[in-house]
Amino acid sequence: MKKLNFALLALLSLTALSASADVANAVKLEKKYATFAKNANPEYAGPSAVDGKFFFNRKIKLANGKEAACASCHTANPADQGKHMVTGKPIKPLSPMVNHKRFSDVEKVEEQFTEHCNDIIGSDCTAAEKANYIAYLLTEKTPSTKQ
Amino acid sequence: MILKYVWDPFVRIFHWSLVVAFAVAFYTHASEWDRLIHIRAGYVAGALILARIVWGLMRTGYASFDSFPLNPLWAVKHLYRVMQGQAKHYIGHNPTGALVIYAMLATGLIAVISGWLVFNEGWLIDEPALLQSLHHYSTWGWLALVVIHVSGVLVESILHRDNLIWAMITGCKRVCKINERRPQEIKDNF
Repeated sequence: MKKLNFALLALLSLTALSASADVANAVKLEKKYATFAKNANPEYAGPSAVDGKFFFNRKIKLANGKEAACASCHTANPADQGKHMVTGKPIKPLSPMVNHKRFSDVEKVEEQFTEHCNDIIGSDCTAAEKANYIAYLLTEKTPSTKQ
Repeated sequence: MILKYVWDPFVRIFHWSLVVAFAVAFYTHASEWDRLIHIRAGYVAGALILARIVWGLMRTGYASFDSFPLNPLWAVKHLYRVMQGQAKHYIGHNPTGALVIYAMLATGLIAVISGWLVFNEGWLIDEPALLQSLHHYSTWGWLALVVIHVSGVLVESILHRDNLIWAMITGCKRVCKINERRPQEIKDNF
């Protein structure tokens, strides 16, 4: 019983830890990617939510005929719950303003970017695209009323 | 040369089906486009492992769990004897191989169950981050065990001058020395 209590306590503190990670990490990541983007291209003007939104909604056709946008699963409003276009499973909101667990763990974000960018554009995204993307998501604060 | 029939058809079909299921799941793990294939491969792997456990609990000769008991101490001793060149020749699983087999069965089950829970996010255990880590580390751990398993197979194939990969296809092992022991007699070596 004591062992179980310790396990529960450990699990609880783990949950508390992830809950304390909030939108500050998303902002930090945005800055980090913006720095990388400037290193690669000195003319990069800084994160653009407008470019990020365009990138998010743009449908891209891959060489294998598959076609999708970020919005295909995450819907046109990333503050809403999404729906996986292949499995139909619900996806928790992507915007860190609504879902604080998003963009909190750097390694996870990097992994997700790499895998998802490969799925959508066929290669990893540039640092500029990632900075713009997070900048856009930080502007989406309100879920649609129908939900 | 004496040929000894060791692996029954169930074990052979199970083994190569699991290889295929794991390979497919591994190949499709990163892409959301392939998510359904990944999920199905995982379910097939899970069903295969469960079937193998049931088969192991039955009286199935060399496939039975009784014929290769889980004993980490024996596993270490056997490995030590292999390195000294004094290892006994086992017809079924040797104690070190047995330990890896049990580790693979357990890790495989954890990998499938955690993957199942990740796919059905929020159901039963609503800890997505924890489950994702569990799935990540259990699957990579499983791959590491596969590497150890294959290394062991190659080492034993060389030591016994036998082709153990071919034995998993035909079911027959070449038994050079007839120090054949029945499953329960494994214990006498330790």
